[in-house]
Amino acid sequence: MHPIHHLHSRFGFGLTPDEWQKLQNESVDRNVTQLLKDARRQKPIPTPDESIPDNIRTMSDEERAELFKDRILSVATINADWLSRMADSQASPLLERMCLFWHGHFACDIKSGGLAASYLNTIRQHALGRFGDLAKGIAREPAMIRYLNNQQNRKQSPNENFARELLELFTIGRGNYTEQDIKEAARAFTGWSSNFDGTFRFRRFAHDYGTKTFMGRTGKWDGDDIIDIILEQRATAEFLAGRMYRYFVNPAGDPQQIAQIADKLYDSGYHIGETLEYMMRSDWFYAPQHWRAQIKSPVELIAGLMRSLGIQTDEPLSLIYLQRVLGQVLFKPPNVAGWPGGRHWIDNATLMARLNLPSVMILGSGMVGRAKDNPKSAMREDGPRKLNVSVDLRPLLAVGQADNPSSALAQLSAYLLPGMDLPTDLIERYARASSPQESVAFAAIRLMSMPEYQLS
Amino acid sequence: MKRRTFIEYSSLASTSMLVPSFLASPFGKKTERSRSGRNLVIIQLNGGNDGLNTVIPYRNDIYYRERPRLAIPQKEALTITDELAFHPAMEALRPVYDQGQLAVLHDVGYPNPDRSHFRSMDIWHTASDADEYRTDGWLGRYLDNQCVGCEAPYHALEIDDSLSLALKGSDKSGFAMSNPDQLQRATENTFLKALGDHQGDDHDHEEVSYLYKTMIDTQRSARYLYEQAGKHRNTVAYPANRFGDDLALIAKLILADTDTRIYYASLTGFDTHANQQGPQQRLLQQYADGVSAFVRELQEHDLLDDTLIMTFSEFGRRVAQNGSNGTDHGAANNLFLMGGKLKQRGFVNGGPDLQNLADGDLKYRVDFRSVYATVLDHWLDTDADAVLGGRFDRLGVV
Repeated sequence: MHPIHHLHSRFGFGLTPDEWQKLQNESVDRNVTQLLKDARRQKPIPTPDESIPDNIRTMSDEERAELFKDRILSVATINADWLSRMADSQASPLLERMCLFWHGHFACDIKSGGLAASYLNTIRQHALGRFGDLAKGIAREPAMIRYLNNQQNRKQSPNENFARELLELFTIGRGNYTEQDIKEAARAFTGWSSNFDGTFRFRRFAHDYGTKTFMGRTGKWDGDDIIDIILEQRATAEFLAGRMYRYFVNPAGDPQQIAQIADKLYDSGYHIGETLEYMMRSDWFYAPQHWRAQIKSPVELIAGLMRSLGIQTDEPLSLIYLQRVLGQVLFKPPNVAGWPGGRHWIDNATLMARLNLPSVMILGSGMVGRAKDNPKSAMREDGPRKLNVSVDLRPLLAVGQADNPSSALAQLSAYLLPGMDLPTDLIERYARASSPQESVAFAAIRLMSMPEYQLS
Repeated sequence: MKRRTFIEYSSLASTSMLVPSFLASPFGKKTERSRSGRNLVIIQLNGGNDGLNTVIPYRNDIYYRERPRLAIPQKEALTITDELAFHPAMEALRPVYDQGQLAVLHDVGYPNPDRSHFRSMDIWHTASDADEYRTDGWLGRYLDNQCVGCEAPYHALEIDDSLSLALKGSDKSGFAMSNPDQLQRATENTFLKALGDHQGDDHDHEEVSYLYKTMIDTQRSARYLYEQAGKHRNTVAYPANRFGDDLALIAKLILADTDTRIYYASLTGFDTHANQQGPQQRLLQQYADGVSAFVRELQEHDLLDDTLIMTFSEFGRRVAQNGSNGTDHGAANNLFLMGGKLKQRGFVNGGPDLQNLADGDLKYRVDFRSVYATVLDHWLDTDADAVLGGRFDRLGVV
């Protein structure tokens, strides 16, 4: 394994062939510094205007239906743009990777492009900042407010859904609070609502201004106070550190290392960027037992392939279709607990789709499978589809440029699957072609079709 | 009639087939092998089927009052009992009912019903409480812990291109195949075949072993299932649509004594918020025609006694119709069980209870996990409590 490869696989989406040529011989420290620097200079993404047109009352039913259809379709654009950003060398892979992590953490099913962009911008703003700001921002996101029924959380009839998930899934985890704490937290978030146009709205008359006793502390708490009290608990740092460790380092948690990350998180006032930097600069992160300990998520896999193969598309639905076939659609997690990950990504159908994907993309000949039916669709999905994407193999071919096929394969392997004991004879046999360039392309297809390539 | 005679008779008599019967694979060979084990076939109606217009309480005033334009008039409904009738598109199910091969459970659901398609389907798939998130399905857990002699990766087979959560376990999972040809194509990558042969599935790295094993299992299964599906021809005609094709495939695999015991199929399009009549009519027709053909074919081959078919949807729809001549998401719903060995038949718990609604929705009287518990315990002979992680009442129907 190569430490630079490991670093960028976990805290990014792997390197493009050009980046690999440039960065592989630089120090880990320089790479980390650059990752953090790139993350800091990113800007918000544009938010589609979803204000309510003045003439909404006079619109025909068809016009109104068309308006809302556009908003649903615009989620697809936000989705495809995000995936393309993950693959974009000019963007920040660390930031996008953190956004993906937080999207799984603050899992939310989002139904309009405006809400998705707003939610994603809040994550982008705080992804490497302070966790408290992130949690408070998410609690104000209309997408989350609607997803977890905080619209219905009113003084007269509290709805506990958001408060429960805030404690159970977003911050401190089961076993660290009581049912009474949930009730009191729910009271503090009463009136946190959203406007029809997708902006946050605090409804004064629905808010419970009374005294609450939460985690042993009594006061006239509002939602922000509740989050502050949660962050005072050390258990919150431990819960988040466990999540981070299992996602970035190893799904098999290590209590000692998790405790160290928790200390860092707590002592820095829940500063995510500082905690990540600590992890990236730790020797233990590069220990052999962590190499390839993760099964890539579909989004990671697609973004990685896009980077290696220079994939572009002007058809956002192609990228979304691919996500559906492989089982992970951005802004569409299975439930508020997020994607379970690991072996849950793999069944016979998704694995074969993954293994065939490089040939489908490079040769443009094959098909990807059929996605599962959407319960809302009127009928069954069509059969397998062709992917409408373009590839640019020139950077990859440059990595594999060599005097003979064996050294070409060695260089490709060092880039795609470093440190693996590979069946090189077999791969060479299946990479024979009429020209050296074709042969390099075939060798790359074979390497990316290996089960080992599914690991990060 | 003896099974062999029946089979010979039916294959000779099947004039609907395009291929002369003497060219079809000889069923006779098959009868020399004895069948073991029972089949469970699960049919999922995606989108939330409107159960009240599927089994119609045609003497109920509330039904007609709440659905002024959508209720099916008594004279159009297919009268089955003094209280209940089938949707007119389900004529094909009448003989199934008459022969005691159908049991309908009304008002099946769960506490605190969720009206999101995705969430409610997950609850049905994982057999969880409404506020619990599980990542393994009820059949997946059965494969994981309780299934004895179920090593074949296709022990539970979903007829689709990807696998439902219901069939995902922690260690073992079901197998997805929409049709054998397509699966063959997905596994015909010669490099991956050579790679599987060369590398095997025993590696130091646990996840590498897991991935290789899944790949090699899939390659082997593809070939086996392709051969199994080619062994027999259907002896009854199935409706010419995707759902009919899926059931015809399941029948062929069962006839070939395939080492699969659980089959999973689905029919999509039941989310009828507007102008419900046409789409529901078309879907129920597909459903009834497909399932009745399937039941008939299994019966012809003496296999219906070994088969239990369960049909469910993630929720029912509201009792009252909406302003667009459709229905919105509701709660409890009816559930169908079919087979040759049902212990109770017909409408085993009466009709839908329209008197005691919760917020305009049918209230559940039977927890769907009781149905699962009954199927697991009485049909698959397994420890249902261990699979479901709790005790649910058993029903007498199976």
